[in-house]
Amino acid sequence: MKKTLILLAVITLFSACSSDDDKVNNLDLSFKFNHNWDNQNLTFDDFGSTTYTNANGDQLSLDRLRYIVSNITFYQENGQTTQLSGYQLFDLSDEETLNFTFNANIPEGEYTVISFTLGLDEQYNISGAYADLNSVSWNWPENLGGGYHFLQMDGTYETTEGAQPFNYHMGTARVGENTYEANYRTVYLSSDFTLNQNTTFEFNMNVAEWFKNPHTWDLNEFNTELMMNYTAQKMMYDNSGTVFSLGDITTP
Amino acid sequence: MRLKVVILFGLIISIVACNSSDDSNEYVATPQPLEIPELFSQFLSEPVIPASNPQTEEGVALGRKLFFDPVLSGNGTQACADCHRPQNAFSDPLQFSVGIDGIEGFRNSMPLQNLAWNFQEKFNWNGSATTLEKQIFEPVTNPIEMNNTWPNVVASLQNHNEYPTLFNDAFGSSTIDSVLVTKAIAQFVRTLTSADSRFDRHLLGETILTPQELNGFNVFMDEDRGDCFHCHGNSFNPLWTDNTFHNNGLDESFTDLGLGSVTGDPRDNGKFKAPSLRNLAFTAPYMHDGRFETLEEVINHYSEGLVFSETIDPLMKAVAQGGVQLSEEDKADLKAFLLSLSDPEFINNPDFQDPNE
Ligand code: HEC
Ligand code: HEC
Repeated sequence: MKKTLILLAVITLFSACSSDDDKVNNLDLSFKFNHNWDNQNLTFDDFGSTTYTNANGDQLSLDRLRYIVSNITFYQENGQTTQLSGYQLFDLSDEETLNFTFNANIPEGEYTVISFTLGLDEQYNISGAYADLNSVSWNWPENLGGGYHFLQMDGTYETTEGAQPFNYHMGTARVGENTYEANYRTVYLSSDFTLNQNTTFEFNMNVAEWFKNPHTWDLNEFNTELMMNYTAQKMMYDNSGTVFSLGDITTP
Repeated sequence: MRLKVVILFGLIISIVACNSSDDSNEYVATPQPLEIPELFSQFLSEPVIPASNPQTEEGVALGRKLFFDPVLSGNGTQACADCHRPQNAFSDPLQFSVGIDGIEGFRNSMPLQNLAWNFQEKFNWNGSATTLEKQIFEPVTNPIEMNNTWPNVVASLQNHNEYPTLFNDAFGSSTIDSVLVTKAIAQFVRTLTSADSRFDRHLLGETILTPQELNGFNVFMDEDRGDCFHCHGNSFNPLWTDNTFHNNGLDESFTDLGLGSVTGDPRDNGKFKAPSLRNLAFTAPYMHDGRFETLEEVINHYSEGLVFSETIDPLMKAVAQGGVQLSEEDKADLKAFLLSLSDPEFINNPDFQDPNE
């Protein structure tokens, strides 16, 4: 008898710690990321076809949207937290990446806040560290601080000379020669919810917010070569604060 | 009290193939696991090897013999290796490959390298084949390539004085069929790994690049100069491709729809596989239609030759100016860097040459 075991794809194991005395259960939790443009549903079907008008009045259309979320954390009223370390890379052209489930050891019960990191924090944003991300060229150039992209939004906007490309890419911000700022964003979302076996969490990204709040984004000024543009990187950071909201939390 | 939360993020695919146990006649060839180059094991996901076609010594040897054998073609004159020559990094020097009846195709032959790391498993310039095994079915019967029929291939192999034994050694059956032929060739093609260029050695600390090559790499990585890395990899993606499809601004309108001809989605028209930049020293001419004979022409294309079309990738950001406008010095350095990704050990690897000679 002969056994052949082939492991395809990487297995990434994540561990996290929490300090509490609640009864911990092994639970399957599901996450779903939805996208909209000011409440108008936005999917890959809209790419290259739907035209949006941003807060500055620029007409734009999208060709690509990918981003990475990590360190989803649950907070209980008594201050106890459970962090699910790890990451998920979303690609709107690939539906399958927008939903994910995992199995966690976490106390059941009442929670008040959920948070996650848009991007990877200093501890995790290590150049070349993740085979699956390297394999899709998600890296951020070393001369800009290295690590990985946090967000990549590519598209075109209308000008008097026709459609022009924009590359809204967020990652480590280069301040100057060998000086960088981490630039990831921790998103905190409050809601009183009960977490049980098979609870599903929905999150919404309002893409319009990337161009709106607090900085009204002028695509005629900030369109390409933004990775190396410190001002643009910090504006992206500022605008990322209102991009996400919590959707339905449901337990069947 | 400290709690441990262990979570599995992402997808675990584990495939367990058990050769059913009690059948004592079950034939098992000698396993020959793919050798994974150091940089690949450090930085890349696991290679794609279907559970139904594990790498074996006998399978690889048979696949190699078939790859170089014109017996697969309709009139016995053309082998895979005629369009995929070792000296050309398993591509050919023609703009368009020519089949057995002298008919020219309409695409440039592709180099065969590191294909076990084509994670999306979309093969050909337009992604038309979804596994390596399926890809290999195609050229044999393509009228402008080997123009044979599978029954004819099987009959020739079955009547051959060596092949029935070799199939038996590889698969435990001397009854040959098209599936076994493609499996054997796929096993051989998966062994064609290239990871020993000057740049690889530089990454491994074994050699020092010239200042020109290093500046060329910086041009490649610089957002305001070459800006090539979004599609063609970087030092942490030693495949030097993202394995996906883009329109890199070659044409205003398309005679060959590329990916669009496969998906039927007009947004994919004019998109082609971003090729690996390995072994460019051996793979001219370039692009899906072999339109550029030299790397200078390729670099000039990105520097000042871009043309707009509906589906052009927004990463071709300087299309309004015709391209990224590199200085003559940066162009020369970029070329030197690109050539540092070429791997003479690959094309001269004795395991990859014609075994029938
Ligand atoms: C007449 C020349 C010719 C012959 C003979 C030929 N090929 Fe090809 N091969 C090509 C061309 C041209 C392409 C690109 C096809 C396309 O994109 O439509 C290609 C593509 C491929 C690819 C896809 C590579 C990639 O990166 O996606 C593989 C694999 C391949 N050939 C293997 C083979 C094998 C194995 C044989 C023998 C059974 C063979 N070819 C015979 C010309 C040929
Ligand atoms: C938007 C993605 C993208 C970017 C950015 C990009 N390329 Fe390409 N590259 C492609 C695609 C797609 C092809 C194949 C196009 C075709 O054949 O139609 C290609 C083809 C090539 C080829 C030909 C390889 C062969 O085997 O035929 C070379 C060389 C090349 N690119 C170098 C570069 C360099 C140098 C840069 C930066 C100046 C660059 N590319 C930027 C997508 C890109």
